[in-house]
Amino acid sequence: MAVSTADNVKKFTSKQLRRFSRMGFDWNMVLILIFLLGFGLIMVYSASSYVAARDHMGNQKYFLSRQAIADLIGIVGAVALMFVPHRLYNKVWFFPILFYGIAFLLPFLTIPFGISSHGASRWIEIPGTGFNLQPAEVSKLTMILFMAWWLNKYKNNINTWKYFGISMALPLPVCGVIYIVTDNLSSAIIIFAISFIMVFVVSRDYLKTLAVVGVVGIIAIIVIAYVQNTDISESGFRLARIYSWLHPENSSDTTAHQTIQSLYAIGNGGVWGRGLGQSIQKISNLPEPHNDMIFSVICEELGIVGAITLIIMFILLLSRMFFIARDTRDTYAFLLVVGVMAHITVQVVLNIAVATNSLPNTGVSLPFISYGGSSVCFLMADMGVVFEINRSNRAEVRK
Amino acid sequence: MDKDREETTNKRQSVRPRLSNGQNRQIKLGVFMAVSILLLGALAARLIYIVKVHGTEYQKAVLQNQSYDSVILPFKRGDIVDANGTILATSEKVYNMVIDASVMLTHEDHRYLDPTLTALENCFPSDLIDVSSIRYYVTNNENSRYYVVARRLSYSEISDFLAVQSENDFVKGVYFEEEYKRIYPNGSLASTVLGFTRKNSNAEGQYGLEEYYDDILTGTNGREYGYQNDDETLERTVKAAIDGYTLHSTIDANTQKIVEKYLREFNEKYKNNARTGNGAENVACIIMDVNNGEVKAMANYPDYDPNDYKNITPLIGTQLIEAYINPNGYTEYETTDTPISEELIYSLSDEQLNINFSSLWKNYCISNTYEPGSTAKPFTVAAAIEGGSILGNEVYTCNGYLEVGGHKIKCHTYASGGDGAVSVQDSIAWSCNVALMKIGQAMGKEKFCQFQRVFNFGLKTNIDLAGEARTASLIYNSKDMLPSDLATNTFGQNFNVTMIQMMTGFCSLINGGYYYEPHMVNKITNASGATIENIEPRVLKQVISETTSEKLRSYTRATVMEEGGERRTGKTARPAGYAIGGKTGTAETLPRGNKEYVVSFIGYAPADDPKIAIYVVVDRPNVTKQDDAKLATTIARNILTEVLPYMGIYMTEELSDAEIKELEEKQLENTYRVTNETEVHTDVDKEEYVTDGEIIDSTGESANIYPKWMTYPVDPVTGYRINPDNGEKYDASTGELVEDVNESMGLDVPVNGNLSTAQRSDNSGN
Repeated sequence: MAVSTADNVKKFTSKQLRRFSRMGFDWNMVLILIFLLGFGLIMVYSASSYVAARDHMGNQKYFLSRQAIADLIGIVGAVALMFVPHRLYNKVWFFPILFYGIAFLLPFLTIPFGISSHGASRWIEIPGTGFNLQPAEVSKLTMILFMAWWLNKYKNNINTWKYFGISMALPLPVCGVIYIVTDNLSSAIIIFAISFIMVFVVSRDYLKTLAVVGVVGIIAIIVIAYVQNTDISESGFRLARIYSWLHPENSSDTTAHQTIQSLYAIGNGGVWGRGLGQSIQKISNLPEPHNDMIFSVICEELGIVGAITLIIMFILLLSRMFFIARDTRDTYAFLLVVGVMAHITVQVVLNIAVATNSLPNTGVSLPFISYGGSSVCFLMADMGVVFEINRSNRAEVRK
Repeated sequence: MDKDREETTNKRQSVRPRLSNGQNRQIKLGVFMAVSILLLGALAARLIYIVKVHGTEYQKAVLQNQSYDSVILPFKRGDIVDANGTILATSEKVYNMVIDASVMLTHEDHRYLDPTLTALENCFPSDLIDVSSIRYYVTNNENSRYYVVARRLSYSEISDFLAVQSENDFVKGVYFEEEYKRIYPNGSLASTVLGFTRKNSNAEGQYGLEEYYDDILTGTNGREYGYQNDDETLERTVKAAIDGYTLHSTIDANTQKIVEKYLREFNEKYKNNARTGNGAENVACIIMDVNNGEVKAMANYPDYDPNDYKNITPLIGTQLIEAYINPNGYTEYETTDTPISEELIYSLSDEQLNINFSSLWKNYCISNTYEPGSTAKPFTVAAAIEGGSILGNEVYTCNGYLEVGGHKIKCHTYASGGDGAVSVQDSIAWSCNVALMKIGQAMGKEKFCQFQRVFNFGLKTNIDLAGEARTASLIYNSKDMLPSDLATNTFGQNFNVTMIQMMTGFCSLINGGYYYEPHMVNKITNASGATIENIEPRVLKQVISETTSEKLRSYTRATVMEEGGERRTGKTARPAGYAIGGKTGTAETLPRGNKEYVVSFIGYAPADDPKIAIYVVVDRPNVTKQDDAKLATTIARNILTEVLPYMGIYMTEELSDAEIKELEEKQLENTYRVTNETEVHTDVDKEEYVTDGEIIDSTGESANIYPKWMTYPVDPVTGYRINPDNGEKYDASTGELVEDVNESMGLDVPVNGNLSTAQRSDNSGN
């Protein structure tokens, strides 16, 4: 009796699994995501336990448990979106306007419902939950959806300067709102970069995109030159950040504190790292080790071996999405997958670039790893959309 | 292949590309992917570069930064408790608010700044925390990690903020450092005995017990720190703080309260009387256990509140002390005739204030010297009898003065023509200077000076309090002593003493000649209550024989009681219902002829079985006629009337109607005793009581009822009280029935067979 029941269970599960996999379930990507989320939880715990115990009445797991809840919400959301056909986003006529509207208007909610009573805030308090929502993360997702619609619709006109210009200008109001209202330059840059990459992949030539890269590059050179030749003590903190990026050793006691401490952490970790949980820098020198500076803690505890392993995991994730994008039959789905890829790539590159002082210090979280509920939830939503596109790819193959 | 061809075609016809949308986007996707991998690869290379080139340098920098990571855990300064365990001084944990600006400004948008400041604004009153100044500081010192905003907040003051901080992720950059604050729950009670700590911190005791026992009360700070172990991994270690030891003082807070009440009452009565200012320059009192040197109460007025020792109010009414440079170039201090008024005090410089404060903080009972006057007479007589110079049956004639060395030295009866025939007892009872001078002449200066040293005059008593005065230069050497010096010394003029010297010496005269080292502390325990040290009474020497002591007891008794006759000087000191002995003193201060006096009374009770001694000194009372010992005897009488019943000493004398009435009035305000009795009753209500037969007066009614076990004899081997009827053992101090360990375990051998019986009895004695 018992044996046959067990056999039944075995048969049942394997049958289910086969069916599930036929539904277009990308097991490789699932494993990579499980690895990233699990690794993220471990590193958040390791990086934050000391700070949590200090700031939250001895509760070492404060950030860990909050992050675990956010991860679960994200997984549930991703599974749900896996069954929402992506064409739906494109079908209802007012959806694109809605997406753009959310991206543009949601940041304004931080003014009446923000965490702080006056001044800029990046968060909206969700009443009764103890959790906060970062509108910029929502904007990233809805802008991907909007830009995919727009570029799909005008994919044949994109090669004209007019439509190229319009496409590049569309994200600017959203970026402006996020920068001005929530004082969040990094998210504004990320949204612009995602849009730019999406325009790049549909446009037929390289000239226009190179022109954009050129303009951005020239502006950067002008700013750097300006910073090099002026006294920055009177200017704002952004210029000071650029100065400290150029001269971290000169300003190690001022604005470059975080950056130089991050470099110390990387140096201290060496090749093999100090061992999990053994970071010294997280205790007091990296102000929020579980957040934007988590990569430094990873370097210190797991060495460049651990850090490069993590980078390889991100490359594997990107390559999975690369194949999904390649297999798409319609440009809209293709654009959605590229948007998600761009989102993850830009954040990973910016985060690691800041940690290694390759770019001026700006707060960008490391996808799936850094502490932050909004970030992980909407990244998982992104992934849910990608999983669904993979399913529909397979479904079309079977047809 | 097909794709490649398409691509080359595309390049050739660059003006109008012919690629399909699908092909184009595959290429673009490839480019994007390649660039991404390239960037990530570059960053990985950058990581390797950082570690290879700067690894060692950065590693060193991290190790050098370790000092950040060490938190001091403060110790708690030991408590000071009285004989009944009442807390006289303790330490309370308080919190300093520290702002970490760099944490508040962590992100470029300063997302923590406003929520944190708002939380501070909501949780603290605006007079305590000025949020706008914090904002100014934080924004101008963005790398500051340690800025103390408010000190010594209590837990209840910060608890609201802690709750907000734990709920709101955006409240950051504020933390609290623990510290201890010294607290004296009874305010000024025993202030000059206790002393205080600098800035009411947990270290640096100043004056009194706090200074004398500073190293005992001070513990060791703990530390929480991280360090590198042999494997170069970071270890966190907490080295707990070791709290200071607790002092168990011999002071009885209730007795002390009674004493201070009457000193204060005296001041209230006489302040601004003959002159502006306090009721006396100093008025002080010591109560000591005659049989072991334990100080039961020690107080002086003016005193101060050690919780707020820099408060100027107690200075008002004292005589202004000024510093001046003497001809030898040294700074000296002089008490002026100017009383400090409220107007004057605000005109004083900080330096002048400090001079006056240090005088205020001094303990008059041990730090000030004065001429004792006639209270020294019992010492002279005791020395003469003990030294064999007189027998005690001599009779002297006093006609009001004696001419010594060309000086005409008067007796206080000079105006009325002298005392006439004076026995040795009368010489003390009537305080006859002439008789004393004659006794002194009979002794000679060598013997007199020798006995002064026997009685420890000129030497420190080594009482366990900081600031005992040196008096070595304030008494005579026999070789420098002129006959007139000897004459005046016999009745307590021309040499200086401290109150504690007089008190300790007087106890030895009364208790059979045993000179005990006076002490304030009899036990030291650690923070968890285990005994570290028991300070046993210490007999330093036997100064006189028991027979001499017995004579002195009867002489001093005659000074107060009826047998001294109508001319006895101490009758006003007798408390209703008690027989006591004592001696008054009236000493003229320097310069002579100013009509300024130190009046005093030294005595013991009860007269037939001395238990406590009392010494009251009134230094320059604020009255027109200062040479009136009644000022001191009244205080002594008032104190004894309340203290003796409180100590459970029973009345032996019949009460007159007036005295009964007085006691009835007093009983109303004599609350200490009433509360104490109720406690005793509730504690041991199940026990059997016996009634002592000695009671005369209804006021002592319940004091004579005590549990039956207290009547059982103490077993010298075990230290338990043993019921002679059935052999049951009781703990000698608590009365708890003690189970016999050996019997209950069914063993015949001692628990530790290695110990001999003698050793075991030693142990149990401890």
